[in-house]
Amino acid sequence: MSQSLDAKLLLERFDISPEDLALLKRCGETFSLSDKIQSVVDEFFEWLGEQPEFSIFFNSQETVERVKRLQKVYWEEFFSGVVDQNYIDHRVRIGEIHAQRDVPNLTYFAAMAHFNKLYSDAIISCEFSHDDTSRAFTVFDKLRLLDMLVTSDQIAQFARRRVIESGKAMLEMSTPVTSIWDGILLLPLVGIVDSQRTQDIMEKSLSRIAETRAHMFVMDISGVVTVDTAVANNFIRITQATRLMGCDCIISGISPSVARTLVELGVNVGEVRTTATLRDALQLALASIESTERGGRRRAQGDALPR
Amino acid sequence: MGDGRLVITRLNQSMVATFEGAIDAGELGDLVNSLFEAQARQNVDSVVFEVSACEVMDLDEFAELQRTVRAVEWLGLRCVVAGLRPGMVAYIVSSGVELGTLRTALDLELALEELTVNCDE
Repeated sequence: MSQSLDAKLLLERFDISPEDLALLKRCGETFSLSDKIQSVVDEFFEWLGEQPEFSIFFNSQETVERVKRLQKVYWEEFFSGVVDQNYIDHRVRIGEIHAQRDVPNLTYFAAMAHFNKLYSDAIISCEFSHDDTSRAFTVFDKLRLLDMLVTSDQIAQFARRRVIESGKAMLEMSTPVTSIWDGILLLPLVGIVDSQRTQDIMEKSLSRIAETRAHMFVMDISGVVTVDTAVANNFIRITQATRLMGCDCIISGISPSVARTLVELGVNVGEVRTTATLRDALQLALASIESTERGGRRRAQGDALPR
Repeated sequence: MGDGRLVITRLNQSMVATFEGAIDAGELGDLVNSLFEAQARQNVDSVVFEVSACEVMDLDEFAELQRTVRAVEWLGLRCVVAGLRPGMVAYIVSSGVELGTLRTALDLELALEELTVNCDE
């Protein structure tokens, strides 16, 4: 659990004292005499039924009844005067459910605003002294804001996790090192090649070379969005790494504009073999494999001869 | 450095220097001398530096290995480094080490194959 969702800390930050909670408990006790919380929840659902999102989230009467029961429990806890770690954890869970069900912020905040209106009337009906009523409004607002913070924090965390997971999935999908022929690996690159992706490409490519004992590694960059000095250096690093594994690398898909950029940038491609098209690269790779095999066959035949 | 073991064997016209554990600078110096003698007496024309048993290799050890390879090449022997591990390779390349014309192979078998093919050609 993050430090910001520690019950003690939250109460301190929202300036909610034990006296404030005792006042909320008094409200709760008064509400229970006339089953006020149930009537507030019923009124809320009447309002909710008129909202456009209602049919999306409530597709049966059974769901409505279940959520009504949960709402009643929620507000009973709210007016119990106990805000401990269990209370916060329950709010965290509610936030997670909101996030999983993709409840729009507009719907959630509008609903909480409507509860504000309903409970303002309910607090007035308690007929406390003027000071206590005024304080009860303030405390209700503070704890409601605390609840909303916890819920929206969970929604934001869920969204962040989803973005990170999608990013990882994209990275996984973006490095399809495929064995296309005996001894030839192909990696078509699409999109942006930054240093993190370079690292990922390098790790995957080197493991695939070790697994398949490939002699040739073709990296097609025709789908790479921009090639600047940093990207070119990343490509050169990958080719150096494959070479250290005993595997030759061909970079295909060098467009005239990329070639000009590389020359203008003064990038030294060194011994890197490059081709304009993937077709040329594959031809080159196949010829290289063929010559290696020929050499191997010649040696095998030579070994078979009597000496 | 210093915890390693170096075994030298002969395979046809190639010498195979197998490193185990860490690469020892002192042993590398002796290796150049041994290869010089082997070249003269045993008609050896190439050397494979087999490092697959080195689980880790720091940049100093790699630099030492490169220097030895260059020294051996000055003797007129063809050299191939075989068995560098993927993690080690990624580390070396990411550190921006200048690789020059260092020839490498995935393993001993491919290294010997490369030496034979290039000799034929």
